[in-house]
Amino acid sequence: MATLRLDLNAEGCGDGNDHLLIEALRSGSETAYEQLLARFQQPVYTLAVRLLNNQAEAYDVVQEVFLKVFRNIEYFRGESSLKTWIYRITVNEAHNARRWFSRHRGREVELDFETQENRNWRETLADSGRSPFDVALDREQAGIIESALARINPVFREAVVLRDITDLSYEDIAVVLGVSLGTVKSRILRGREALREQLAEGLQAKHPLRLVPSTAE
Amino acid sequence: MGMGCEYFEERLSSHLDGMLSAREGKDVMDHMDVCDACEARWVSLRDARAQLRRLERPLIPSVLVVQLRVLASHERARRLARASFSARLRNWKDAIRLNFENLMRPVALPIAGGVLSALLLFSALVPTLVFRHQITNDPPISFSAPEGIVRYWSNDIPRLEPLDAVVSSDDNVVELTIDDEGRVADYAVRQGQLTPDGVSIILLSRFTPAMFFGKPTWGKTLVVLPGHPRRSARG
Ligand SMILES: [Zn+2]
Repeated sequence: MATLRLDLNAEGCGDGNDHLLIEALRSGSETAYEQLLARFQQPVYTLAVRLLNNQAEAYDVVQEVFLKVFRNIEYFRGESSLKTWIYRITVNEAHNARRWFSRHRGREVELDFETQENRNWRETLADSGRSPFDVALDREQAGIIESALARINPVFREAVVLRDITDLSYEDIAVVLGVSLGTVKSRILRGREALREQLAEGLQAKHPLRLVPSTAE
Repeated sequence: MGMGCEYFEERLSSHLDGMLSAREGKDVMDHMDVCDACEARWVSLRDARAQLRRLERPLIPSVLVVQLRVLASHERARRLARASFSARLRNWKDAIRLNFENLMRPVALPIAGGVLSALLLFSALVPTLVFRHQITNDPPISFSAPEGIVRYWSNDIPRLEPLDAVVSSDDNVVELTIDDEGRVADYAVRQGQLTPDGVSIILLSRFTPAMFFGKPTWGKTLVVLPGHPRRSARG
């Protein structure tokens, strides 16, 4: 059955060359810096946006992440893969940012996100060859799932995003989050359950504003 | 049996990711054949997951891409500067026996016929990596012209020279603004280009600050980096 699909393609690409890339970074090779960015800037950005629900915050977090990566590459011991190390930094930075922003900004964050999103949408609309109607339908669907995702507990969201958007294995997620495999399983399960509930609610009430009680683990 | 719906609910999500053993997987499938509730749950979980996976990746803004490249090249220059700095430090140790004590202590400046008014032995060679781009509260006092020249020969020993020393048109000349703590606060390329050596000096050097009525103050200095190797200068 299609439901048993394993994501083999996402695993292992480039991991074998980690130590070469790391050596090259340490020696200050220009191509190494470029390669690192080429490989990670998009996934790190995507992850940050999904963790924070905010592109402007993600913008800052991504820079912070790569600054940390460049500065700390000599302390990277190679006990985990480069990939999990970088995502771990991303998750931590997003965590810090979320705490900082929730203390300093509050609600305006949401509005900011809205306008950014719309702008991006218009950009994609311009060069996709599809009918505006199809795009709008997809867009509505995406908007529903995005806001559902935004409303679930951040701890569960992290696990689900790493699994279904960043496409990491359970083992990698355990390393990134620094938790056991069992905890990863349970967080993904709870995250998906919460998402399912949010989506079901979203169908009933068009503009659900209720927040899900946030009890982790 | 003892396996109620709860048992299966716990496993549906892992099953989606193919994380169950063949045996467990079969149990789940068998249960769904007979239990509509679990099957419905399974279908909606699967759909939610599929939607999530189909979600368009927000494209990284091109401004951010540029920003990251700038960041990368800055960090890379820093790394290289630090590397060449430690190499230079080793060089110096071999070439001239610099006393560590002397390096750390502020240097009393020879005021020789007004030629070298302030300066600029490379001192306090601490690789602190402090580089303040922005000049903050302390406004530079009374200088418009540089106060001396530091010339690098190919053997890496900096030399103090009078302002009217000959500067070849091949040389790269960088004018540095030194703050009252001896750090480079600003720079401007006066001739040629900013070489990696120049970058490393800007990022890593610590100067003896210029003195103004017995107090350290802001000053300027020219650093000359030969445009091509001059073997003849060795020795
Ligand atoms: Zn059941």
